[in-house]
Amino acid sequence: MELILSIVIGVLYTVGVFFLLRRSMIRIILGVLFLGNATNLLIFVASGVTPDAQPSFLSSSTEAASSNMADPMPQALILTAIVISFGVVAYLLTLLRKTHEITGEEDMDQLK
Amino acid sequence: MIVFAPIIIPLLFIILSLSLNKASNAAQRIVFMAGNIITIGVGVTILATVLSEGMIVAQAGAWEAPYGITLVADTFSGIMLTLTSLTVGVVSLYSLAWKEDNLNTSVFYALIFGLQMGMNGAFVAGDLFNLYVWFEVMLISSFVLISYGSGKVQLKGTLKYVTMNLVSSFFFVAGIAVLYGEVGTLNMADLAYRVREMGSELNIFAPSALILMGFAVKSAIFPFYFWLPDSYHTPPLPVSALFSGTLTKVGVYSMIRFFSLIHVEGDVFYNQLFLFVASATMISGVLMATSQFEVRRLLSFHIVSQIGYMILGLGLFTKLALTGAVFYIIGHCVVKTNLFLLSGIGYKYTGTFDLKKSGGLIKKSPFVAILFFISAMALVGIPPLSGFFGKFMLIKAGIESKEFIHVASALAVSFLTLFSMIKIWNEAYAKDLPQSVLENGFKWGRPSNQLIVSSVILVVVTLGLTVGSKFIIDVCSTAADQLLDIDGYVKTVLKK
Repeated sequence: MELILSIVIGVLYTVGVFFLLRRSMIRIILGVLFLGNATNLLIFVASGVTPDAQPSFLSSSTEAASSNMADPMPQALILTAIVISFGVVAYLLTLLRKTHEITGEEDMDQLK
Repeated sequence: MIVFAPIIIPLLFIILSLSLNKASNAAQRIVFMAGNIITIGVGVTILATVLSEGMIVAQAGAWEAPYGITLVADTFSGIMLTLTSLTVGVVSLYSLAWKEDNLNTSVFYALIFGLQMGMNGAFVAGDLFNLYVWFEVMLISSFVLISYGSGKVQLKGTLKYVTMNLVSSFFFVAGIAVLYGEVGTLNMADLAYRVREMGSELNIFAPSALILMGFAVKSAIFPFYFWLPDSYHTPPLPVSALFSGTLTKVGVYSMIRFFSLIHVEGDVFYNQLFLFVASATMISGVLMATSQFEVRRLLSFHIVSQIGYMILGLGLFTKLALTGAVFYIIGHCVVKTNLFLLSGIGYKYTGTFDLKKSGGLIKKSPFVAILFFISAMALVGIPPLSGFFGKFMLIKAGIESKEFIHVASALAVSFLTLFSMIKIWNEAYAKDLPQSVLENGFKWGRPSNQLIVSSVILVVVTLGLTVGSKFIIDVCSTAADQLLDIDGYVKTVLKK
């Protein structure tokens, strides 16, 4: 499981960097989206994937279950990171639309 | 509980300024300045409390560290809180009289408070993820502020600024993710404790390198500074002044905080890296500044160059060096903001930021020329002005640590800074207006007195740093002591 997810993260990072280095404006948003999702997955994988574990707050009363609890922390981190990147991407979309409207350019190299 | 105040008060004022959207302009301005004054008051109170009673630690929601969200204020945080709120306050006063770029709206006021909330949060954050969140709060406000005006130039500058800062945030979060996987904690005190148990800071090399990348872009150090001079000269001048004084300092603050906490006695890898980066930042920044004739771009390159001195203090990592670095941050923040404010006053007189097309200010207004002269000499570090004390301590610490190459580059950069400041002096103040400008029907403008008063306040603070230098240096050396006393930090936060 970890191996597959790690490869997926690698691919997402590659695609994100590739898009960021393109000249088209819309690809910058795509790049940021890919990098953001890759980072979220990285938080998930780096803190250990535990497929058999139970949600931490469901069964904290019983002794046996508490030894096999999923760590709630990375999920909280991912949730926060998703919300933040959502806001940032919304801003970026507006910014690029406005830039396109004012300059009439779609090519980043023309914006020096 | 007072540690929550620097976050909650700006938040309240964001709500207040937005809800006053329909109110009269005067009411909005009063609320704006009241918010700034209260925030300065909170900063001073925290600094005074920390100095008399030691570090303040607060746990949000009574979850004990390292499980909950921890807010910590030590002397360094207190200094930064006071310093940035003061700078923001003066720039706010200035922006009220700027009268261009449509700055006097409730949205602008709310954004300034948003920026302040993010910075204050970063200064008191006790764990890394919380620090990231405050960075984002600060960045989102700054994204909107830097695009203010929405002209072609602003949008181009904003695109570079936004993209670079987003990428740096991803590096930072990736570092946090790997760090959590390796060490299992994000609380900085707990992290410091566990890294010392591991025996070497290189055990967390991968995450700390990723986090360093994040900080490096935000504080604009070599080789990640190219976005700064490309974007800092585009927004309305009060915004440039605000960013130049405060934003990069948040990156430097976080870098000093994080890397002093994970430092383990005997490990020199990061120290050597920081020394090299410091010299490279100082030299490349100042060299590129020499060829500039747009005054805001010139000053932007000098921001880069002077970030190098602060990093030099972190690289040397002795008590004297850190004292010097903290003192330098204080002096630089005040002086750099003031130079931007003065270039704005010059713009009001001549109508241009281009040094080649301006001139004659010394005859037009000798008083403004004096203000500029004091600030410029303080930036260069001519004794007895504020830049001198910081540089003197840093260079003395460098000689004591036998890092002669870096000392030499710090001294050489001082000379080149002097060269740049003399260039502005000659072009904008001393020389007469060029014939070509006069022929085109040139008319002197007149800046309002409020603009000049804002600048006078900062000059008074600069002179105050000289007059009260003994007290300020004592405060800075307390801050340096606390930065070096990692055990004390861990004990106070974790209570073990």
